Amino acid sequence: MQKILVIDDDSLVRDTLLRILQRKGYEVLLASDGRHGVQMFRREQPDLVITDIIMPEKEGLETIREIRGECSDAKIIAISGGARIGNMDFLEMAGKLGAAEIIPKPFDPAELISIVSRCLAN
Amino acid sequence: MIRRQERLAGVWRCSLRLRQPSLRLLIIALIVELVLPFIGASVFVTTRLADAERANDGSRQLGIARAFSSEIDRQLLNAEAALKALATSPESPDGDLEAFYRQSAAVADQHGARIVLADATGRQIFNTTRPFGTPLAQLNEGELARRAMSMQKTQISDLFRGSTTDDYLVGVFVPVIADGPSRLVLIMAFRPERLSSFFAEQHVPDEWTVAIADRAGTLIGRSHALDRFLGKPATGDLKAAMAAATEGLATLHTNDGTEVYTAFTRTVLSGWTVAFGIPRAVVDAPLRQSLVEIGVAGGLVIILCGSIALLTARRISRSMKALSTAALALGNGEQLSQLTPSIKEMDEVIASMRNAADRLARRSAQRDRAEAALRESEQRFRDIAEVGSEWIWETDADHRFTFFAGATVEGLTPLGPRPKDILGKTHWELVGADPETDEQWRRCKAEFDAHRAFRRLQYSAITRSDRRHYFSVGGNPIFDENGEFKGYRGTSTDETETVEALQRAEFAEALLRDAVDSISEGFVIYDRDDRLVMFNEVYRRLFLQSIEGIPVGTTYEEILRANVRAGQHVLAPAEEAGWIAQKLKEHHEADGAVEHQLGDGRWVLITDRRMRNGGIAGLRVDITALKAVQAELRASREHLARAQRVAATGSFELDLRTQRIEWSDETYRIFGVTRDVDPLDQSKLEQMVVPEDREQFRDQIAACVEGQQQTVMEYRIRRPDGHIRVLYRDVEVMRDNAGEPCKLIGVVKDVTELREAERRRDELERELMHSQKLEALGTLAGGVAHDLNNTLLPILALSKLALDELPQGNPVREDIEVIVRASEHARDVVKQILAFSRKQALVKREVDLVTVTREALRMLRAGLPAMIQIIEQMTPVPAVWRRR
Repeated sequence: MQKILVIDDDSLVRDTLLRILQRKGYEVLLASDGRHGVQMFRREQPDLVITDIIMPEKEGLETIREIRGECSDAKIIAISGGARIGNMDFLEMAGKLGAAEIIPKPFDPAELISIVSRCLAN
Repeated sequence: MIRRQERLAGVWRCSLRLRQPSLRLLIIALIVELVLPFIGASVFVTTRLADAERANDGSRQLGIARAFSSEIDRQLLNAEAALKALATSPESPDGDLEAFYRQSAAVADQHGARIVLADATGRQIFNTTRPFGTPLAQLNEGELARRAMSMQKTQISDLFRGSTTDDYLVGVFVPVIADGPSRLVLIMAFRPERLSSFFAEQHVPDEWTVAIADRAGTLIGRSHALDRFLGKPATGDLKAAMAAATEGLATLHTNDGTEVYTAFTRTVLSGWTVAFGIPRAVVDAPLRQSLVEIGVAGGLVIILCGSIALLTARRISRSMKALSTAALALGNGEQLSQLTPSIKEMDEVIASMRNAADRLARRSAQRDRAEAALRESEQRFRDIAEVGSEWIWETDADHRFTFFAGATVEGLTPLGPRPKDILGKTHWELVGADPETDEQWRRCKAEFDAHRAFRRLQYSAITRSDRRHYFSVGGNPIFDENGEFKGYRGTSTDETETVEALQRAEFAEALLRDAVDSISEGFVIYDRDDRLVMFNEVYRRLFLQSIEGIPVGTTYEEILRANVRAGQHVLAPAEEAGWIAQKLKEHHEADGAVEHQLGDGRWVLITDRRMRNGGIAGLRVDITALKAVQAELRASREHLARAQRVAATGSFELDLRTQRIEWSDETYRIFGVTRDVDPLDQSKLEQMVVPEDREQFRDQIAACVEGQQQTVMEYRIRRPDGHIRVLYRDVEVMRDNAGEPCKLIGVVKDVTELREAERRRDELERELMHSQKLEALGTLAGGVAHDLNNTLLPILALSKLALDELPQGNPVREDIEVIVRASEHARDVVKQILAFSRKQALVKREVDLVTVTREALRMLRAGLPAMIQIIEQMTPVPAVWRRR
């Protein structure tokens, strides 16, 4: 069973992803911020990481950079509610940092499953 | 205390009187001294006579005592003889004792006594006072009877009491001498009164006292009152006299206490003492009487002589008083009054005095005239000294003042102005100085001690009024006929005013010279004859440096020529005379200032002024530096003009009193006018100000003058070429010494371009602020959109998930589909908000207004209630440029 680590500070988002991904047979690991997420990645070595961008403690871009530092070929999907820093779109920045896919919130469950499946297949 | 003082005063007067006795007292004393020795001699002689009389009386008294003693011895011898005869009578005791008794009784009767026959044991054989054969008592005087028998010698008893009759008796004890040793003794005893009867027979005067004392000192006889004193002891002083001598004279006391002159003698036979006393009062009465008489007589003589002496003394005293009055009048130089002396010698004395008075009067008149002349002379000296501010003085050999006169001494000395305070003091003591410590006075004292004449010896002192006085002293030594130094006589002068005037003059001259020397310019004074009087160092350096030893008194012309010769003024020989004449003319006119360049290139401003005394005071100012400054000033002005031109800032000065105004060249340029062609004035200036600013323009000037702080303003002008320019003006008010505004100095700057640039900068700032607001709003919208998207995710995702899992036909599907649509709508709205807030670079590009309007309406639609309907009516328009 493939393990997917979901990192998001919003518990509703975490629960929603948990429900969608579990129904599709994935093992879902949950982390509420980037720091826990990185720790959990080191410990569990998941197959895919889905992370939010804007979070307390450690925001998503930093989390992506660290996970990339830990494992250069880690598969990461960045999701975001759409906030920006200056003229930079977070999701664009996440893509530049190494996120394989970027999905703006809210999204369809089918779209998510499709992207997850594609990433895992790659 | 007061009584004590009065007593002391009385004693003092008395003592004074005794020390200086009056003539009357002396005469009385003389009389007393003469009479008293006579009286004393009389008393002495009388006393001596009385003593001699008393000695004679004593001898007689002792003779009488001896006579009494002899009488007593005679009576005792009679008794002894009678007893011895009886013992040898035929009826002896050894025979018929009774017959012997009878014979004895007969003898006893004959003698008025009693006879006792006793044996050796003291037993009475018979007693004639008792019948024969009567038993008799033992003899009381048995011891005396045994002594008579043992010694075979008659014994005389002292007073004793009879053993038979118990009365006082005295007895004669005669041993009866027979063939062998005596065994019997005959005693004749009789009463002691019998001894005293002799005194009555001799008619002893009543005041005399004759007493008989036995060997034991017991009275056995007395001329008077025997019954009272019989058997009593004699007085103690009589006993003492009896013990001391067998006879003599003494002053004793009788038993009744009477003091008596006593002659006493001891009887040969019995050893008894007979004392014969005459009361002292009786003996001394004549002497006392004589002394009283002498005293009375002496007193009377003294009184009589004293009275006579008093009269005599009064007479002498009156004469003496007259003499005294005459002497007093003589002493006072008065005429002697008519005196009537009662004594010849006094008359002679008065005559002599009268003669002397006449002589004295003549000499006194001469002396008065001499004294008057002397006083006048002295007053003359004093007056001269006072007028001449001088003091005349004399000192003794110790330099102490003995005479002091002259001008007022007020302020002369710390001791004060009283001459009596000065006498006795030395020069240095007057001013409170000490030659030991004061050098000035040490020198003065040395001069005095040299005993030489001295002149103008000067000293100074600070008086009580705290003013320093200066004195000049001159003196000549005084020597007596022996050449001994007696002191100095001299004068002192207060030269304070002279010295002070001199000091003031010196000070003023020094001050003037200091002032002249301190003038930074050359200063010179010529007198009316053009001769040099005074000049300072600066003048010397300017004009006299090249001339050695210019003396005061050199003429101005000589100085000019000397300077020309020294090359101070570079002249051609031909023009020298004319130049000198011109300079002399300028000098004599002494009017105005002339700039003159010296040969060394220096510039001098020559200013001469005629003084009231005809002389000329000249000021020579080296204006070389001033000239240089003037050049610098010109350069500075040019520099300022350039600076104003570069800074586009002009300046102006407005004289508030004359309303005269000066503009700089740059100001003219700013206003667009030319100084030479169209010079500015205040009204022209105001006309150039645009009408809207004209009032403010005027008010600001007035406000500045009134002291308000509104010194800066901007106003607009219209130049003659029609351009509107914005000018900045800053003014400063200058005030005179009274604080009144007198001048306005200001700068004018053309700030038209500056103000335009500022306007544009403000506009840009406003735009920037608007942009920042939009950015903040976008950031806020982004945050809200982020949260909404997070919220929409579970709604949308889980709704769709639920739809996938709900079978078709389930009524819940429609509900969830509504939720999904609503969520998607919300997602779109959020997307639009995000699009609105998205920050993009402000770049201009072509846009289609219709498209933009539709987007705007869409966004608007999301924020409007559903009841509001939006109707779109748009026609295509050309694309426009806008910022993104």
